[in-house]
Amino acid sequence: MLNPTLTHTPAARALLLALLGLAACGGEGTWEAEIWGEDYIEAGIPAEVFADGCAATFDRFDLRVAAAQIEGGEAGPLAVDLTAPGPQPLASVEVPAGLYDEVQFTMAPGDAEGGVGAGLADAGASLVVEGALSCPGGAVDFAWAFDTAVTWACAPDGLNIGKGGAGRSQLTVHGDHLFYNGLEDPEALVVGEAMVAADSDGDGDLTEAELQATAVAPLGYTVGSHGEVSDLWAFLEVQTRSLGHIDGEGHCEVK
Amino acid sequence: MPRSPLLLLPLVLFGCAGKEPGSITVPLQWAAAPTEGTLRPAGRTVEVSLQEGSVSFADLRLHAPAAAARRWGPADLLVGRAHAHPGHDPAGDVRLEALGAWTEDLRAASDGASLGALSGREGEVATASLRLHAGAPQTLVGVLTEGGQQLPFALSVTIDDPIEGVEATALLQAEAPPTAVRLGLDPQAALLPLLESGPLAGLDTDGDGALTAADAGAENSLRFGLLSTLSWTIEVLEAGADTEATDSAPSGG
Repeated sequence: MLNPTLTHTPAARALLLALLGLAACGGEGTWEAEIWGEDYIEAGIPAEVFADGCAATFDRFDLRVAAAQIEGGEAGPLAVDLTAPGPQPLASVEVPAGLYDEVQFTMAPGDAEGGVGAGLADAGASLVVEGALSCPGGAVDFAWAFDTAVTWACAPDGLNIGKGGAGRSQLTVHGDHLFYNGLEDPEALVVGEAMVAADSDGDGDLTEAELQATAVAPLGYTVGSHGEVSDLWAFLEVQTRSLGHIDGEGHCEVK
Repeated sequence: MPRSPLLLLPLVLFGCAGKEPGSITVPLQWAAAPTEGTLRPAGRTVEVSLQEGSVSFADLRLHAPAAAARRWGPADLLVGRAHAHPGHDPAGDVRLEALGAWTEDLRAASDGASLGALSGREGEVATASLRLHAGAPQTLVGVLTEGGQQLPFALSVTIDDPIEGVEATALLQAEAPPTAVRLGLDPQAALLPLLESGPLAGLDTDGDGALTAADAGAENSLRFGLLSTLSWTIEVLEAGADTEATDSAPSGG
Protein backbone atom coordinates (compact mmCIF):
# COMPACT_ATOMS: atom_id res chain seq x y z
CA MET A 1 0.00 0.00 0.00
CA LEU A 2 1.17 3.48 -0.73
CA ASN A 3 0.42 6.42 1.38
CA PRO A 4 -0.38 10.07 0.87
CA THR A 5 2.36 11.42 2.98
CA LEU A 6 5.12 13.87 3.35
CA THR A 7 8.20 14.55 1.37
CA HIS A 8 11.67 14.64 2.79
CA THR A 9 12.20 18.39 2.77
CA PRO A 10 11.49 20.49 5.81
CA ALA A 11 9.58 22.98 3.70
CA ALA A 12 7.34 20.28 2.36
CA ARG A 13 6.72 18.93 5.81
CA ALA A 14 5.74 22.36 7.00
CA LEU A 15 3.51 22.66 3.99
CA LEU A 16 1.94 19.36 4.80
CA LEU A 17 1.13 20.44 8.29
CA ALA A 18 -0.74 23.34 6.78
CA LEU A 19 -2.44 21.08 4.31
CA LEU A 20 -3.55 18.54 6.85
CA GLY A 21 -6.48 20.70 7.76
CA LEU A 22 -7.43 21.05 4.11
CA ALA A 23 -7.11 17.35 3.57
CA ALA A 24 -9.59 16.74 6.32
CA CYS A 25 -12.10 18.50 4.13
CA GLY A 26 -11.71 15.77 1.46
CA GLY A 27 -11.58 16.39 -2.26
CA GLU A 28 -9.78 14.73 -5.11
CA GLY A 29 -7.20 15.61 -7.68
CA THR A 30 -5.57 13.90 -10.62
CA TRP A 31 -2.30 12.02 -10.59
CA GLU A 32 -0.80 12.08 -14.04
CA ALA A 33 2.07 9.72 -14.73
CA GLU A 34 4.26 9.70 -17.80
CA ILE A 35 7.26 7.77 -19.05
CA TRP A 36 10.30 9.02 -20.90
CA GLY A 37 13.52 7.51 -22.18
CA GLU A 38 15.20 10.88 -22.67
CA ASP A 39 17.59 11.63 -25.51
CA TYR A 40 19.73 8.59 -24.76
CA ILE A 41 16.93 6.26 -25.88
CA GLU A 42 15.29 8.52 -28.45
CA ALA A 43 18.41 9.80 -30.19
CA GLY A 44 21.18 7.55 -28.90
CA ILE A 45 24.03 7.53 -26.42
CA PRO A 46 26.91 9.59 -27.80
CA ALA A 47 30.56 8.61 -27.68
CA GLU A 48 31.39 11.18 -25.02
CA VAL A 49 29.20 9.28 -22.57
CA PHE A 50 31.11 6.03 -23.09
CA ALA A 51 34.43 5.61 -21.33
CA ASP A 52 35.83 3.59 -24.21
CA GLY A 53 34.74 5.60 -27.21
CA CYS A 54 31.69 3.56 -28.16
CA ALA A 55 28.27 4.92 -29.10
CA ALA A 56 24.85 3.32 -29.12
CA THR A 57 21.48 3.88 -30.75
CA PHE A 58 18.15 2.21 -30.14
CA ASP A 59 15.64 1.25 -32.82
CA ARG A 60 13.22 -0.24 -30.35
CA PHE A 61 12.90 0.11 -26.60
CA ASP A 62 9.56 -1.46 -25.72
CA LEU A 63 8.75 -1.50 -22.03
CA ARG A 64 5.65 -2.87 -20.34
CA VAL A 65 4.51 -1.04 -17.24
CA ALA A 66 2.33 -3.57 -15.46
CA ALA A 67 1.16 -1.01 -12.95
CA ALA A 68 1.64 2.62 -12.02
CA GLN A 69 0.53 3.12 -8.45
CA ILE A 70 -0.11 5.84 -5.99
CA GLU A 71 -2.05 5.64 -2.76
CA GLY A 72 -5.68 5.52 -3.78
CA GLY A 73 -5.08 4.98 -7.48
CA GLU A 74 -3.57 2.59 -9.97
CA ALA A 75 -3.25 2.36 -13.73
CA GLY A 76 -1.89 -0.15 -16.18
CA PRO A 77 -0.84 -2.25 -17.82
CA LEU A 78 0.54 -0.15 -20.63
CA ALA A 79 3.37 -0.79 -23.04
CA VAL A 80 5.31 1.91 -24.84
CA ASP A 81 8.17 2.20 -27.29
CA LEU A 82 10.50 4.70 -25.71
CA THR A 83 12.24 5.48 -28.99
CA ALA A 84 9.13 7.49 -29.89
CA PRO A 85 9.31 11.14 -28.86
CA GLY A 86 8.27 11.56 -25.27
CA PRO A 87 7.40 11.95 -22.55
CA GLN A 88 4.48 9.62 -23.20
CA PRO A 89 1.39 9.43 -20.99
CA LEU A 90 1.20 6.48 -18.64
CA ALA A 91 -1.66 7.09 -16.24
CA SER A 92 -4.26 9.59 -15.19
CA VAL A 93 -6.15 8.64 -12.08
CA GLU A 94 -8.28 10.42 -9.54
CA VAL A 95 -6.81 10.27 -6.04
CA PRO A 96 -7.42 11.98 -2.73
CA ALA A 97 -5.87 15.41 -2.65
CA GLY A 98 -2.66 15.61 -0.65
CA LEU A 99 1.09 15.60 -0.66
CA TYR A 100 2.50 12.22 -1.68
CA ASP A 101 5.95 10.87 -0.95
CA GLU A 102 5.83 7.58 -2.82
CA VAL A 103 4.71 6.30 -6.17
CA GLN A 104 5.47 2.89 -7.62
CA PHE A 105 5.99 1.60 -11.11
CA THR A 106 6.12 -2.10 -11.87
CA MET A 107 7.75 -3.45 -15.01
CA ALA A 108 6.71 -7.03 -15.65
CA PRO A 109 5.72 -9.31 -18.50
CA GLY A 110 2.09 -10.07 -19.15
CA ASP A 111 -0.81 -9.15 -21.35
CA ALA A 112 -1.11 -5.66 -22.69
CA GLU A 113 -3.63 -4.09 -24.99
CA GLY A 114 -2.59 -3.21 -28.49
CA GLY A 115 0.44 -1.40 -29.78
CA VAL A 116 3.83 -2.67 -28.74
CA GLY A 117 2.22 -4.61 -25.92
CA ALA A 118 1.27 -7.46 -28.24
CA GLY A 119 4.86 -7.96 -29.28
CA LEU A 120 6.02 -7.97 -25.70
CA ALA A 121 3.30 -10.42 -24.70
CA ASP A 122 4.22 -12.73 -27.57
CA ALA A 123 7.83 -12.70 -26.42
CA GLY A 124 6.87 -13.16 -22.78
CA ALA A 125 8.91 -10.06 -22.18
CA SER A 126 8.65 -6.90 -20.15
CA LEU A 127 11.40 -5.19 -22.10
CA VAL A 128 12.58 -5.55 -25.68
CA VAL A 129 15.61 -3.57 -26.77
CA GLU A 130 16.97 -3.41 -30.30
CA GLY A 131 19.73 -1.21 -31.57
CA ALA A 132 23.35 -0.86 -32.53
CA LEU A 133 26.59 -0.46 -30.62
CA SER A 134 29.59 0.98 -32.39
CA CYS A 135 33.04 0.95 -30.83
CA PRO A 136 36.59 1.60 -31.99
CA GLY A 137 37.10 -2.16 -31.98
CA GLY A 138 34.03 -3.04 -34.03
CA ALA A 139 30.27 -2.80 -34.13
CA VAL A 140 27.30 -5.03 -33.34
CA ASP A 141 23.56 -4.97 -33.64
CA PHE A 142 21.52 -6.32 -30.77
CA ALA A 143 17.94 -7.48 -30.22
CA TRP A 144 17.35 -8.52 -26.63
CA ALA A 145 14.19 -9.52 -24.78
CA PHE A 146 14.06 -9.51 -20.99
CA ASP A 147 11.38 -10.93 -18.72
CA THR A 148 12.44 -8.77 -15.79
CA ALA A 149 9.81 -8.23 -13.11
CA VAL A 150 10.64 -5.33 -10.85
CA THR A 151 8.91 -2.63 -8.88
CA TRP A 152 10.47 0.77 -8.53
CA ALA A 153 9.31 2.47 -5.35
CA CYS A 154 10.09 6.09 -5.93
CA ALA A 155 10.05 9.18 -3.75
CA PRO A 156 8.85 12.14 -5.80
CA ASP A 157 9.93 15.53 -4.58
CA GLY A 158 6.94 17.66 -3.77
CA LEU A 159 4.14 15.71 -5.44
CA ASN A 160 1.32 17.86 -4.19
CA ILE A 161 -2.05 17.05 -5.73
CA GLY A 162 -4.49 19.76 -4.87
CA LYS A 163 -8.24 19.45 -4.73
CA GLY A 164 -9.43 19.68 -8.32
CA GLY A 165 -5.84 20.02 -9.47
CA ALA A 166 -3.22 17.69 -10.84
CA GLY A 167 0.23 16.41 -9.94
CA ARG A 168 2.64 14.76 -12.32
CA SER A 169 5.23 12.00 -11.95
CA GLN A 170 7.60 10.76 -14.59
CA LEU A 171 9.08 7.28 -14.80
CA THR A 172 12.38 8.17 -16.39
CA VAL A 173 14.15 5.26 -18.04
CA HIS A 174 17.94 5.43 -18.22
CA GLY A 175 19.03 3.48 -21.28
CA ASP A 176 22.71 4.03 -20.60
CA HIS A 177 22.53 1.66 -17.63
CA LEU A 178 22.48 -1.24 -20.10
CA PHE A 179 26.12 -0.43 -20.78
CA TYR A 180 27.25 0.10 -17.19
CA ASN A 181 30.19 -2.08 -16.17
CA GLY A 182 28.95 -2.50 -12.59
CA LEU A 183 25.87 -3.54 -10.69
CA GLU A 184 25.02 -1.49 -7.60
CA ASP A 185 28.13 0.54 -8.31
CA PRO A 186 27.81 4.33 -8.15
CA GLU A 187 31.15 4.59 -9.96
CA ALA A 188 30.22 2.29 -12.82
CA LEU A 189 31.35 3.39 -16.26
CA VAL A 190 29.41 3.27 -19.52
CA VAL A 191 31.41 0.92 -21.75
CA GLY A 192 30.83 -1.14 -24.86
CA GLU A 193 34.01 -2.82 -26.09
CA ALA A 194 33.45 -5.94 -23.99
CA MET A 195 30.07 -6.40 -25.60
CA VAL A 196 31.45 -6.01 -29.10
CA ALA A 197 34.09 -8.60 -28.23
CA ALA A 198 31.34 -10.94 -27.04
CA ASP A 199 30.11 -11.32 -30.61
CA SER A 200 32.07 -14.54 -30.80
CA ASP A 201 31.04 -15.56 -34.29
CA GLY A 202 31.78 -12.10 -35.60
CA ASP A 203 28.59 -11.90 -37.58
CA GLY A 204 27.73 -8.46 -36.28
CA ASP A 205 24.76 -9.63 -34.22
CA LEU A 206 25.25 -9.81 -30.46
CA THR A 207 22.89 -12.51 -29.29
CA GLU A 208 21.65 -13.68 -25.91
CA ALA A 209 23.56 -16.94 -26.38
CA GLU A 210 26.81 -15.10 -27.04
CA LEU A 211 26.31 -12.97 -23.95
CA GLN A 212 25.58 -16.08 -21.89
CA ALA A 213 28.86 -17.55 -23.12
CA THR A 214 30.84 -14.51 -22.01
CA ALA A 215 32.14 -14.56 -18.44
CA VAL A 216 32.00 -11.20 -16.69
CA ALA A 217 34.84 -11.91 -14.26
CA PRO A 218 37.75 -11.29 -16.67
CA LEU A 219 36.14 -8.10 -17.98
CA GLY A 220 36.64 -6.01 -14.87
CA TYR A 221 32.90 -5.75 -14.36
CA THR A 222 31.54 -5.74 -10.81
CA VAL A 223 28.37 -7.42 -9.60
CA GLY A 224 27.95 -6.08 -6.07
CA SER A 225 25.75 -8.35 -4.00
CA HIS A 226 24.74 -10.35 -7.07
CA GLY A 227 27.35 -13.05 -6.67
CA GLU A 228 25.23 -15.37 -8.77
CA VAL A 229 25.90 -13.29 -11.88
CA SER A 230 28.69 -14.89 -13.90
CA ASP A 231 27.94 -14.08 -17.55
CA LEU A 232 27.10 -10.96 -19.49
CA TRP A 233 23.51 -11.94 -20.14
CA ALA A 234 22.79 -12.48 -16.46
CA PHE A 235 24.55 -9.19 -15.82
CA LEU A 236 22.26 -7.41 -18.28
CA GLU A 237 19.20 -9.06 -16.80
CA VAL A 238 20.04 -7.66 -13.38
CA GLN A 239 21.00 -4.31 -14.83
CA THR A 240 17.53 -3.90 -16.32
CA ARG A 241 16.29 -3.64 -12.75
CA SER A 242 18.15 -0.36 -12.45
CA LEU A 243 16.58 1.41 -15.43
CA GLY A 244 13.75 3.13 -13.57
CA HIS A 245 14.06 6.58 -12.01
CA ILE A 246 11.64 9.25 -10.92
CA ASP A 247 11.39 12.69 -12.47
CA GLY A 248 14.72 12.56 -14.26
CA GLU A 249 17.47 11.66 -11.85
CA GLY A 250 15.46 10.76 -8.76
CA HIS A 251 16.34 7.40 -7.35
CA CYS A 252 13.91 4.59 -6.67
CA GLU A 253 14.15 1.62 -4.39
CA VAL A 254 14.25 -1.62 -6.33
CA LYS A 255 11.81 -4.24 -5.12
CA MET B 1 32.43 17.15 35.10
CA PRO B 2 33.05 13.91 37.06
CA ARG B 3 30.02 12.21 38.41
CA SER B 4 29.77 10.99 41.95
CA PRO B 5 29.45 7.21 42.30
CA LEU B 6 26.68 7.91 44.73
CA LEU B 7 24.74 9.59 41.97
CA LEU B 8 25.35 6.71 39.61
CA LEU B 9 24.20 4.09 42.09
CA PRO B 10 20.47 4.75 41.73
CA LEU B 11 20.85 4.73 37.96
CA VAL B 12 22.51 1.34 38.04
CA LEU B 13 19.90 -0.01 40.39
CA PHE B 14 17.17 1.13 38.04
CA GLY B 15 18.97 -0.17 35.00
CA CYS B 16 19.76 3.24 33.56
CA ALA B 17 23.51 2.81 33.42
CA GLY B 18 25.87 0.08 32.30
CA LYS B 19 24.75 -2.25 29.52
CA GLU B 20 21.86 -0.87 27.52
CA PRO B 21 18.80 -3.06 27.15
CA GLY B 22 19.05 -5.00 23.93
CA SER B 23 22.76 -4.41 23.48
CA ILE B 24 24.76 -7.44 22.53
CA THR B 25 28.41 -8.42 22.16
CA VAL B 26 29.42 -11.51 20.24
CA PRO B 27 32.91 -12.97 19.77
CA LEU B 28 34.13 -12.77 16.19
CA GLN B 29 36.10 -15.73 14.93
CA TRP B 30 37.81 -16.83 11.77
CA ALA B 31 36.70 -19.97 9.94
CA ALA B 32 39.60 -21.98 8.60
CA ALA B 33 39.59 -22.31 4.83
CA PRO B 34 39.72 -25.61 2.98
CA THR B 35 43.11 -25.95 1.32
CA GLU B 36 42.17 -28.78 -1.03
CA GLY B 37 39.10 -28.94 -3.18
CA THR B 38 37.49 -29.90 -6.45
CA LEU B 39 35.92 -27.28 -8.66
CA ARG B 40 33.63 -27.96 -11.57
CA PRO B 41 33.70 -24.87 -13.77
CA ALA B 42 31.47 -25.25 -16.81
CA GLY B 43 31.27 -29.02 -16.37
CA ARG B 44 35.05 -29.52 -16.14
CA THR B 45 36.85 -30.94 -13.11
CA VAL B 46 39.72 -28.97 -11.62
CA GLU B 47 41.56 -29.96 -8.45
CA VAL B 48 42.83 -27.07 -6.36
CA SER B 49 45.63 -27.35 -3.84
CA LEU B 50 46.28 -24.18 -1.88
CA GLN B 51 49.86 -23.86 -0.64
CA GLU B 52 49.79 -20.27 0.55
CA GLY B 53 47.05 -17.76 1.02
CA SER B 54 46.49 -14.46 2.68
CA VAL B 55 43.47 -12.21 2.82
CA SER B 56 43.22 -8.70 4.19
CA PHE B 57 39.86 -7.29 5.20
CA ALA B 58 38.25 -4.72 7.45
CA ASP B 59 35.08 -3.56 9.14
CA LEU B 60 32.61 -6.43 9.33
CA ARG B 61 28.98 -5.46 9.77
CA LEU B 62 25.86 -7.58 10.11
CA HIS B 63 22.74 -5.90 8.79
CA ALA B 64 19.04 -6.14 9.46
CA PRO B 65 16.77 -7.02 6.53
CA ALA B 66 16.11 -4.20 4.12
CA ALA B 67 13.44 -1.87 5.38
CA ALA B 68 10.02 -2.88 4.13
CA ALA B 69 7.50 -0.42 2.82
CA ARG B 70 5.70 1.06 5.76
CA ARG B 71 2.74 3.21 6.38
CA TRP B 72 3.00 6.85 7.09
CA GLY B 73 3.30 7.85 10.70
CA PRO B 74 3.72 11.00 12.68
CA ALA B 75 7.48 10.50 12.70
CA ASP B 76 7.47 11.31 9.01
CA LEU B 77 6.78 14.87 9.96
CA LEU B 78 10.29 15.05 11.32
CA VAL B 79 12.33 12.46 9.48
CA GLY B 80 12.90 12.32 5.78
CA ARG B 81 13.32 9.19 3.67
CA ALA B 82 16.49 7.65 2.43
CA HIS B 83 17.09 7.10 -1.25
CA ALA B 84 18.88 4.12 -2.72
CA HIS B 85 21.14 4.15 -5.69
CA PRO B 86 19.30 2.69 -8.65
CA GLY B 87 19.72 -1.03 -8.84
CA HIS B 88 20.86 -1.32 -5.30
CA ASP B 89 18.91 -3.69 -3.12
CA PRO B 90 19.58 -1.90 0.15
CA ALA B 91 20.57 -3.63 3.36
CA GLY B 92 18.92 -2.66 6.59
CA ASP B 93 20.39 -1.04 9.66
CA VAL B 94 23.61 -2.29 11.19
CA ARG B 95 22.93 -4.82 13.96
CA LEU B 96 26.49 -5.78 14.84
CA GLU B 97 29.83 -4.43 13.80
CA ALA B 98 33.50 -5.05 14.40
CA LEU B 99 35.68 -2.22 13.18
CA GLY B 100 39.30 -2.83 12.42
CA ALA B 101 41.52 -4.50 9.87
CA TRP B 102 42.78 -8.03 9.78
CA THR B 103 45.16 -10.03 7.62
CA GLU B 104 44.59 -13.76 7.86
CA ASP B 105 46.87 -16.54 6.71
CA LEU B 106 44.48 -18.96 5.00
CA ARG B 107 46.58 -22.01 5.87
CA ALA B 108 47.87 -21.11 9.31
CA ALA B 109 44.81 -19.59 10.93
CA SER B 110 43.03 -22.18 13.02
CA ASP B 111 39.32 -22.69 12.95
CA GLY B 112 37.82 -20.43 15.56
CA ALA B 113 40.76 -18.04 15.81
CA SER B 114 39.58 -14.93 17.59
CA LEU B 115 39.27 -11.71 15.63
CA GLY B 116 37.81 -9.75 18.50
CA ALA B 117 34.15 -9.04 19.05
CA LEU B 118 31.12 -7.64 17.31
CA SER B 119 28.94 -5.26 19.22
CA GLY B 120 25.53 -3.81 18.54
CA ARG B 121 21.91 -4.51 19.27
CA GLU B 122 19.62 -7.49 19.14
CA GLY B 123 17.30 -8.16 16.25
CA GLU B 124 17.07 -9.93 12.94
CA VAL B 125 20.11 -10.20 10.69
CA ALA B 126 19.88 -10.87 6.96
CA THR B 127 23.16 -9.88 5.35
CA ALA B 128 26.72 -8.92 6.15
CA SER B 129 29.21 -6.52 4.66
CA LEU B 130 32.93 -6.06 4.94
CA ARG B 131 35.70 -4.42 3.03
CA LEU B 132 38.72 -5.90 1.34
CA HIS B 133 41.54 -3.90 2.79
CA ALA B 134 44.40 -2.48 0.75
CA GLY B 135 46.78 -2.71 3.68
CA ALA B 136 48.12 -6.00 2.38
CA PRO B 137 47.74 -7.86 -0.93
CA GLN B 138 45.25 -10.67 -1.28
CA THR B 139 47.33 -13.69 -2.20
CA LEU B 140 46.56 -17.21 -3.36
CA VAL B 141 49.34 -19.65 -4.25
CA GLY B 142 49.00 -23.31 -5.17
CA VAL B 143 48.52 -25.81 -7.95
CA LEU B 144 45.61 -26.48 -10.28
CA THR B 145 45.17 -29.90 -11.86
CA GLU B 146 42.86 -30.66 -14.75
CA GLY B 147 42.89 -33.89 -16.73
CA GLY B 148 46.41 -34.76 -15.55
CA GLN B 149 47.78 -31.34 -16.46
CA GLN B 150 49.11 -29.21 -13.65
CA LEU B 151 49.35 -25.44 -13.59
CA PRO B 152 50.93 -23.64 -10.65
CA PHE B 153 49.28 -20.40 -9.68
CA ALA B 154 50.69 -17.45 -7.77
CA LEU B 155 48.07 -14.75 -7.70
CA SER B 156 48.24 -11.50 -5.84
CA VAL B 157 46.09 -8.41 -6.07
CA THR B 158 45.54 -5.35 -3.92
CA ILE B 159 41.90 -4.49 -3.41
CA ASP B 160 40.17 -1.73 -1.51
CA ASP B 161 36.50 -2.35 -2.21
CA PRO B 162 33.40 -3.22 -0.21
CA ILE B 163 31.58 -6.53 -0.25
CA GLU B 164 27.88 -6.13 0.49
CA GLY B 165 25.15 -8.71 0.67
CA VAL B 166 26.93 -11.72 2.15
CA GLU B 167 24.30 -14.12 3.41
CA ALA B 168 24.06 -14.04 7.20
CA THR B 169 20.74 -15.09 8.63
CA ALA B 170 20.16 -14.96 12.37
CA LEU B 171 17.92 -13.67 15.09
CA LEU B 172 20.05 -12.01 17.75
CA GLN B 173 18.66 -12.00 21.26
CA ALA B 174 20.37 -10.19 24.10
CA GLU B 175 19.24 -12.71 26.67
CA ALA B 176 20.58 -15.63 24.61
CA PRO B 177 23.30 -14.25 22.38
CA PRO B 178 25.19 -16.41 19.88
CA THR B 179 28.39 -17.87 21.19
CA ALA B 180 30.28 -16.53 18.18
CA VAL B 181 30.07 -15.25 14.65
CA ARG B 182 32.52 -17.02 12.39
CA LEU B 183 33.74 -15.32 9.22
CA GLY B 184 35.47 -17.21 6.47
CA LEU B 185 36.73 -17.02 2.91
CA ASP B 186 36.48 -20.04 0.62
CA PRO B 187 39.52 -19.77 -1.66
CA GLN B 188 38.08 -22.40 -3.96
CA ALA B 189 35.04 -20.23 -4.57
CA ALA B 190 37.27 -17.21 -5.07
CA LEU B 191 39.18 -19.07 -7.79
CA LEU B 192 36.08 -20.33 -9.58
CA PRO B 193 35.48 -17.24 -11.77
CA LEU B 194 39.07 -17.49 -12.97
CA LEU B 195 38.64 -21.12 -13.95
CA GLU B 196 35.36 -20.42 -15.71
CA SER B 197 37.31 -18.54 -18.35
CA GLY B 198 38.34 -21.82 -19.95
CA PRO B 199 40.60 -24.88 -19.69
CA LEU B 200 43.89 -24.60 -17.82
CA ALA B 201 45.85 -24.72 -21.04
CA GLY B 202 44.45 -21.37 -22.05
CA LEU B 203 44.85 -19.53 -18.76
CA ASP B 204 48.63 -19.12 -18.83
CA THR B 205 48.47 -16.55 -21.61
CA ASP B 206 52.04 -15.32 -21.24
CA GLY B 207 53.39 -18.87 -21.37
CA ASP B 208 55.63 -18.56 -18.32
CA GLY B 209 54.42 -21.84 -16.89
CA ALA B 210 52.35 -20.34 -14.09
CA LEU B 211 49.04 -18.59 -13.70
CA THR B 212 49.69 -15.11 -12.38
CA ALA B 213 47.95 -11.75 -12.30
CA ALA B 214 49.92 -10.88 -15.43
CA ASP B 215 47.93 -13.38 -17.50
CA ALA B 216 45.06 -11.95 -19.49
CA GLY B 217 41.95 -11.52 -17.43
CA ALA B 218 43.47 -13.19 -14.36
CA GLU B 219 43.69 -10.13 -12.14
CA ASN B 220 40.13 -9.09 -12.97
CA SER B 221 38.88 -12.63 -12.36
CA LEU B 222 40.66 -12.94 -9.03
CA ARG B 223 39.34 -9.55 -7.98
CA PHE B 224 35.86 -10.65 -9.03
CA GLY B 225 36.15 -13.89 -7.08
CA LEU B 226 37.44 -12.28 -3.91
CA LEU B 227 34.72 -9.65 -3.99
CA SER B 228 31.98 -12.18 -4.67
CA THR B 229 29.45 -12.62 -1.91
CA LEU B 230 29.60 -16.34 -2.72
CA SER B 231 33.22 -16.57 -1.62
CA TRP B 232 32.58 -15.39 1.92
CA THR B 233 30.77 -17.20 4.68
CA ILE B 234 29.19 -15.99 7.88
CA GLU B 235 28.18 -18.56 10.45
CA VAL B 236 26.31 -17.52 13.56
CA LEU B 237 27.06 -20.11 16.22
CA GLU B 238 24.43 -20.76 18.81
CA ALA B 239 25.12 -22.05 22.31
CA GLY B 240 26.64 -25.51 22.31
CA ALA B 241 28.75 -25.01 19.21
CA ASP B 242 32.52 -25.38 19.42
CA THR B 243 33.90 -21.92 20.13
CA GLU B 244 37.41 -22.65 21.32
CA ALA B 245 39.42 -19.66 20.18
CA THR B 246 42.95 -18.51 19.69
CA ASP B 247 43.90 -14.87 19.41
CA SER B 248 44.29 -12.97 16.14
CA ALA B 249 43.70 -9.38 17.06
CA PRO B 250 42.95 -6.66 14.50
CA SER B 251 46.07 -5.38 12.82
CA GLY B 252 44.86 -1.83 12.87
CA GLY B 253 42.50 0.37 10.99
